[in-house]
Amino acid sequence: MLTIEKLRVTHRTRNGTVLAVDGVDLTLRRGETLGLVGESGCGKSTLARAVMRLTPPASGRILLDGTDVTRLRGRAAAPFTARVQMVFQDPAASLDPRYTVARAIAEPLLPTVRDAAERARRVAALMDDVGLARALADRLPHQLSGGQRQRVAIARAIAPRPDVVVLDEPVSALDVSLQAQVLNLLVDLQERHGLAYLFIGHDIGVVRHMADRVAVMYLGRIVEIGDWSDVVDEPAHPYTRALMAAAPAANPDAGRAATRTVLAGELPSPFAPPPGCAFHTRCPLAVERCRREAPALRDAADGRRVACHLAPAPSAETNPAQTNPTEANNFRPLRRLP
Amino acid sequence: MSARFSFSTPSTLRLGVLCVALLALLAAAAGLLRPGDPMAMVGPRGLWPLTDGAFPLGTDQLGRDVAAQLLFGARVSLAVGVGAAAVATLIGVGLGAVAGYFGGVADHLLSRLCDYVQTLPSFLLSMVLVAVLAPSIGSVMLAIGLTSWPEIARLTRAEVLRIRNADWVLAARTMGLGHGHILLNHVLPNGIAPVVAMIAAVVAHAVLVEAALAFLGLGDPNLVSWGAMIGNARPLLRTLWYLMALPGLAIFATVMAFTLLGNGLSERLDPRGAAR
Amino acid sequence: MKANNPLIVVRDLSIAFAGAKAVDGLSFTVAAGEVTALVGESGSGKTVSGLSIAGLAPPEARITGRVTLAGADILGRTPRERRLAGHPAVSMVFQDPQAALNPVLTIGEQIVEAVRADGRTGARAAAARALELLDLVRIPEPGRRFSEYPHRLSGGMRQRVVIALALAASPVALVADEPTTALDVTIQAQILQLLIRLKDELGMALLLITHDLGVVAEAADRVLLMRDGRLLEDRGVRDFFDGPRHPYGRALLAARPGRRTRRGPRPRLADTSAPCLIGGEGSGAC
Repeated sequence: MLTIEKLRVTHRTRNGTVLAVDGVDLTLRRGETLGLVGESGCGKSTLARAVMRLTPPASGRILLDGTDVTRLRGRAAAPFTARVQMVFQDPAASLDPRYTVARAIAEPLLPTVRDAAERARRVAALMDDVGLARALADRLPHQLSGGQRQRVAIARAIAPRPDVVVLDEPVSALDVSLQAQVLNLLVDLQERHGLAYLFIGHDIGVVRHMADRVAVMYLGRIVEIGDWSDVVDEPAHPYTRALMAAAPAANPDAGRAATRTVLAGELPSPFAPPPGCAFHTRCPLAVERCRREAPALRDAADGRRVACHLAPAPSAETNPAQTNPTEANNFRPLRRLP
Repeated sequence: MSARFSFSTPSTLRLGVLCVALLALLAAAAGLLRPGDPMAMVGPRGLWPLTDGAFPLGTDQLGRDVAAQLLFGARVSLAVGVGAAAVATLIGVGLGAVAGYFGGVADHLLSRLCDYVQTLPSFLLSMVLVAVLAPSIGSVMLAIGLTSWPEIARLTRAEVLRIRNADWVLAARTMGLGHGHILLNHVLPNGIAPVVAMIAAVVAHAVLVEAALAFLGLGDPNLVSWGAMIGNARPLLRTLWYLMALPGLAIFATVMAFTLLGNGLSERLDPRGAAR
Repeated sequence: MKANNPLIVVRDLSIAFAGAKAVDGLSFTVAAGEVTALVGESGSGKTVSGLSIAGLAPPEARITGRVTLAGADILGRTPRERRLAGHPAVSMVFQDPQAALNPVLTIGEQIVEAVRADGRTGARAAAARALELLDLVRIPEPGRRFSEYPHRLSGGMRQRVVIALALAASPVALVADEPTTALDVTIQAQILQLLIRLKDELGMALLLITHDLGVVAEAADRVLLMRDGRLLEDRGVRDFFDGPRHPYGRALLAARPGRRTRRGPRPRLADTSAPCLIGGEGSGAC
């Protein structure tokens, strides 16, 4: 339904130009949740902003049911604007401090629902939908709890009956218990309204809980994408493996920090990304080829796509020359006990 | 954050509001307190203050009631101050908001225009404008307003620039709402507080400039003005010095009142100051 | 992980702000060489408890009870008073390394300042000690980092500097308040590992304040579960994850995402705010 093609987004700063999103292809299907994970600075939030058309892309296209909406503005964009909505990370910042709950939820309805009484009815229904007591309608954001604020932001996002909701770390600003409530609510709303979610997160546990498919980003590129259980539990790209291995374990028997192999080093400077595969500077498996040649995102086992020279192809016959057999042997998906 | 005024707030703001309210009240009640034409010669000439119960503040060299002139002069001072500030606010907030919100060429043009207006000696510019437009209360307002908008524009631009990337503004953009709606509902209401405080300071400035213009004879000839009173009393400084001192005191009090109001407002409305 | 004679003993600690109790009758011990996790959601009183143990509680806090460090009563004394009284140091590592470092001083200047706070170390010796500390927290090229400003460092490197600062007083115990919350996962794992290694190398006690049960599972030896200023559980980490006795602890474990399996439906996350969980053990039928 939502398709992103060869999207590139650049940021111009005092220190030079950064390629924040570097040729990303993604498809979001109706009703599914696509998790997008990566460390801060990997470009996932920039990608979200480009999808929301808050940041114009340098090149590439964003298609909604086949219609190119990348450069639509004003009246021509109106029918598509309502169909893709967003929930921001920090509800304290994404709600206008001077707008009451009811006014905030009603705002996205202004362009389409002219009748004030009809709008009020819709707002009341939306408040019920996200589990906000109607008595809260006249409160201002600072008079609400963090969980209530995020419910307002969610109600506002689903008000224009969108097909796609971009969720940019929607629970990372919340406490454990509120996080659970908001995640449950998002699951319910998805079932009730058939929403597709682009779920951006850095907490692997949360993405694991929510996503149907997971895409992993590193320095502006997607390095691996596939079914959630494949990517999270049996990652194929060395970076994904490192990322998943770094995620805190579910219980003390599943892993202890003291004994774990931790990915060394930090994200390279985005102003001077390393040549070849951007991950080779931290990759435990890097070979000469990785330093010279950037790997393309290509089909790998189990229907996933991986951008790594060493990842085994779906079957040896389809691409015999691509991988050196000894390298491929080194490369076993890491299996972690649940 | 709340802009509500409360009498429990101490100090500057309270004092400023009280002084401004008192001035406004006196100006409004001028006709009741000293009925008749303040320009009429009603008493003996050069009567010192506190010597005659009928003329508590004395009379001037032509036998006009000083108290009446001061009261009616307050009307002019306040009208010009508020009017000029309104003109400056209209231009300054409008241009500043557009420049800050849209950036790019609009911002560049505004910044150059501000630089240009601010490098011109603003008092001379006001004088020229009044002289060209013929002295009247309206032209004085316009002349002062047209020279004092750049600071308001710069402050508005800075505030808008700060707020236009707030998440709630981005959220409003993702709803497909128009720029006008976003600017008026999400950006300006959240950034206007320091501008409001500056507007009070512009009123004080305008009162001073009005007095100076009137002193130089560029005021409305049909209205009493404190500046004109001082100007007319100039030759009598050695003999009837109270004719200069009293309107001078009135100007000082008015400027002080609005300065207090401005400082008080900026203390109260600045979210960073609210914590202090 | 052995050494069971307690280094820090907290007895009946209560902290109130303007009449409202933030911590209510807290008692626990912290052993040297162990990671003790103080776990709770915001408002549980975990941070202010940690601050008062480190001697950094805000002055308006009304603190009662008893906290001893190696037998000496340290409650209500600032780090300086403790040093002058000859007590060993308890240092604090904060959540946000950005806020914990002074942006206008170089890394070296800040650590040298912390080292020289004892009033006995000369400039040259302090510089040498600062380099040693940077090396201890495994900052690559400490000599170069020494003269750099905090903004030049990444979040992970900054947190290492904050830890080096905390180590400057040669503490016997470290109170780390959400030391990894502001960091990315891979960096989070590095910092957690560093803290545990330092605890082992230097034989310190580590009081880890966190809301993240994943961090607890990774690092803690003992779990102290707090809610609304009260201690609900005090148990070994494996015991705790095998099944907390308190319903709130159970709900907290069940509220965590990430327990989903390949087959079967997405599990429902527990609601930990149910009022029946707030009472004591076994109260209410949740």
